[in-house]
Amino acid sequence: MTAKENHRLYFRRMMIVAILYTAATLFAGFMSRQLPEGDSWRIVLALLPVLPAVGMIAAMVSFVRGLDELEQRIHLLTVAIVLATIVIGSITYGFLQAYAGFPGINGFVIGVGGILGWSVVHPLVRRSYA
Amino acid sequence: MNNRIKVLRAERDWTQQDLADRIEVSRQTVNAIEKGKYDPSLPVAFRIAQIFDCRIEDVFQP
Repeated sequence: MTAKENHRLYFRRMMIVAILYTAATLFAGFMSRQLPEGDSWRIVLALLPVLPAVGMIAAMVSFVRGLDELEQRIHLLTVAIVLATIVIGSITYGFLQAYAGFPGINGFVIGVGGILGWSVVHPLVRRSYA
Repeated sequence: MNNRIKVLRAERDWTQQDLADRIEVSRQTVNAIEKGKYDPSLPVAFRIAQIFDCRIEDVFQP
């Protein structure tokens, strides 16, 4: 498979999975509002978008496997830097919360931070090989 | 690691993209190898030597 085909397949897979993810999220949100507070089905509904999210992981793994060796290295270095930054950042903020009275923050921040971190770090790592 | 890829490529009048297509990697990878910023794996190094019809040590020098 050529690099172009690999990219095209990745975007097609991600598009399908993103549509399924959005549909699952909207469905779960709508259905949970119909259920009473504390109903155990609410947990099932909250976890429903995880199924298409697994598809996202599969699409990413397949994409990275289709890259050539330098591109794989760039992606894996980016993942390592972003992951380490998020782990250290979240633990540090945990200490600030516990000992300095910082306010609690939503777990969504980690996901958004990961995406933002990726978009900043990836071009920098890529440039180091240019 | 030093290499003679740029010279060998120029002798054949190949662009980086031409070489990249022949050894099935991206143009950026060829560029990084040429500049010595990235040392290729053995399979890629052997493919490069094979494409240029050279021994691997004639292309790459430590």
